[in-house]
Amino acid sequence: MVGTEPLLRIDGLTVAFPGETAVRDLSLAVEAGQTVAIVGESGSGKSMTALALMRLLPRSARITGGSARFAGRDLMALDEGAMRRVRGREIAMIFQEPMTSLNPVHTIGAQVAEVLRLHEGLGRAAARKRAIELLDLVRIADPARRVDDYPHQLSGGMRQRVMIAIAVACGPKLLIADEPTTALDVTIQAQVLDLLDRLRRDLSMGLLLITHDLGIVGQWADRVVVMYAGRKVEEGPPGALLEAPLHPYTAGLLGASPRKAEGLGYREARLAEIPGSISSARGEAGCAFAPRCRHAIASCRAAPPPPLVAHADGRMVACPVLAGSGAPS
Amino acid sequence: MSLLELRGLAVHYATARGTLHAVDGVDLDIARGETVGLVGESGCGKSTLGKALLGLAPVTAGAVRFDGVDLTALGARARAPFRRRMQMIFQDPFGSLNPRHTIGAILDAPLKVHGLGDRAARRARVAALIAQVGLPPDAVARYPHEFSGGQRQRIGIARALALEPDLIVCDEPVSALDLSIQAQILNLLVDLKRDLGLAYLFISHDLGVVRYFADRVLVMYLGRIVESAPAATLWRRPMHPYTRALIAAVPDPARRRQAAPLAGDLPSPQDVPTGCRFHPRCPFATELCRTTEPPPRTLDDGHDVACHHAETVAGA
Ligand SMILES: Nc1ncnc2c1ncn2[C@@H]1O[C@H](COP(=O)(O)OP(=O)(O)OP(=O)(O)O)[C@@H](O)[C@H]1O
Ligand SMILES: Nc1ncnc2c1ncn2[C@@H]1O[C@H](COP(=O)(O)OP(=O)(O)OP(=O)(O)O)[C@@H](O)[C@H]1O
Ligand code: SF4
Ligand SMILES: [Mg+2]
Ligand SMILES: [Mg+2]
Repeated sequence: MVGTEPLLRIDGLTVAFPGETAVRDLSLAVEAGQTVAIVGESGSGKSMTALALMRLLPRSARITGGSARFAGRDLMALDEGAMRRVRGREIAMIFQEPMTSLNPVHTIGAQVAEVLRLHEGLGRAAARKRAIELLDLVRIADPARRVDDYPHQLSGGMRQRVMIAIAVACGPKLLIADEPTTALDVTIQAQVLDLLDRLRRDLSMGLLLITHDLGIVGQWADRVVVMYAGRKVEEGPPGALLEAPLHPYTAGLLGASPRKAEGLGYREARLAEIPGSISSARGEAGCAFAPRCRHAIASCRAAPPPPLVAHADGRMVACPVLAGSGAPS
Repeated sequence: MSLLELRGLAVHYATARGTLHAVDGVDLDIARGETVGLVGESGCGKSTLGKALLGLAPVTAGAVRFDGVDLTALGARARAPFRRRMQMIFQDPFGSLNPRHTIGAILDAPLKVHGLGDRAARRARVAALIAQVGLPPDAVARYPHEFSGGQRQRIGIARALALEPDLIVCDEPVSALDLSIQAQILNLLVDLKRDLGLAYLFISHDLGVVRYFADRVLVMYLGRIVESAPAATLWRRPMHPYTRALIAAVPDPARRRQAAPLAGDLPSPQDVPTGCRFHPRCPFATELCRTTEPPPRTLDDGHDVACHHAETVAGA
């Protein structure tokens, strides 16, 4: 890809809370029209990565290193005024918790319309009309009536779709979607993913998709990034990565899926856990996964952590033990 | 006798635009130690049903019998002893945790309210709960906003476990979790069920999880149960067209970038279709379906379905 800049290139991003580093030296790229999925342990820094890009981190968090180039600018270096013009218009985000990101005292229609009035300069009536169209687009039944509902009158999944309507309202170049369909049933989930994929194709939108659902990754993503304790530990095309994971953490994650039970119930098969918890990563000088890894050798725990090494077929992995010997079992 | 029996349960909301039928006549039995999975379209009334059991949503009609006692007939006082025995893990973990309280205080509160143990005993119990759901020991002194989405969900689970209830309504308990923590939590719920005889009403959009974890599965559509069967049976031989559409829509890498099979206008609970409520979207619908509501029928052992053409659907 010599000479062509991707839509978004994150380089060495580091986000820290007092006493805790949430994202460590993270690099990844999203091309226009590409879907990049991020998967990983709960608490591994996926949402903080997304919030850093939007420059909406919690107040106690600091970006302590790295850059994020987007359409010729470094998002990490923009002032708040410039960032406000990017946010919602060029880069939009669907947040993980829809209830806390919708305002309880305004109708959903007013909240969708507000984005349109702010960024597209639409008048009152036009914004309302467009808001109803957007609610219809995300398949809210009866949008002309529902537009005047308050958030508490909607089910969890309906609130999530309102958030999606707000995010896509201005046709962003990059959409960051943090667990966008977790609250939805599978038929509506499929429709929403299809909608996001259509926007990706039609607008050449880049889609950074954070999800726990490996079925979704396999069905919709072009690339997948696996995070553990703030770091990227593996990256590759979903087919190969899900088929034959290289990093022991990725292998453990795939092994824990109920899909592995292949139709058996809890009486016949116990789910495979990864022993221990992510809190064991604290204070590790070497590989953060070492305390839980059954392939670990002494050198895994020595500083610095194993670097990401490129493999065949566009794959990358940060594990020197198994990277050479094929997939872990 | 079942631990929990619902008969004709209805929850209707009066809205500015007329009555909204969130739950519209549901019969349901949960035995001691049984896990009943509840799946269905977003907005079909699953959370409302779960909340109605606990007295957190207004029951318009029908009975909620717990250990044979109809809770809807009881006042708040008489209901209190039952409150401890039924708990809920909420769909929205953040909204249900008080942001000004530490995790320790959040977990201590129910123990204190029910007078369980002295200070030292309660502190030990809180520490055990935190360990049980896989949070670090120092979580006890931290606040909800300091945790990731999945970690908060585990705090909600610890709180539901605190009082050792007989029944837990689990509303999407693992959907915010990565697969490895999901496996830990599901294994934990299985152990609790085996050791303490816990029963669960398990609401989830993840059909893979429901198939694995539930003894019996109910499929809900627009306020009603349309199919009910043992988990293995339901996947082997789904008989309701909506159940089939659900199973077909599960994300699958084999269907690269291909969309949902179920289309059609989404129904509104304010404007329930005539006849079978699924008919406007159903590929099997006939004139009969448009005019006459299909009653639930028992077709095989423990397999109930509300569809005029279930036999045809099962064979298709
Ligand atoms: N306000 C905060 N103060 C201190 N630490 C925080 C705060 N918010 C998040 N963290 C920590 O930052 C880390 C990364 O959190 P993040 O929300 O990015 O995780 P995640 O990968 O999105 O997890 P999940 O899959 O559960 O949503 C976690 O270990 C969390 O404890
Ligand atoms: N307090 C309320 N006032 C009015 N309508 C409500 C209220 N609570 C829920 N509803 C409506 O009741 C219906 C059922 O909502 P419920 O939250 O039970 O759905 P659900 O099946 O849990 O959906 P999801 O899978 O999206 O969480 C929805 O149409 C919702 O808008
Ligand atoms: S009763 Fe008719 S419309 Fe309803 S699900 Fe069965 S075939 Fe479809
Ligand atoms: Mg998150
Ligand atoms: Mg719900």
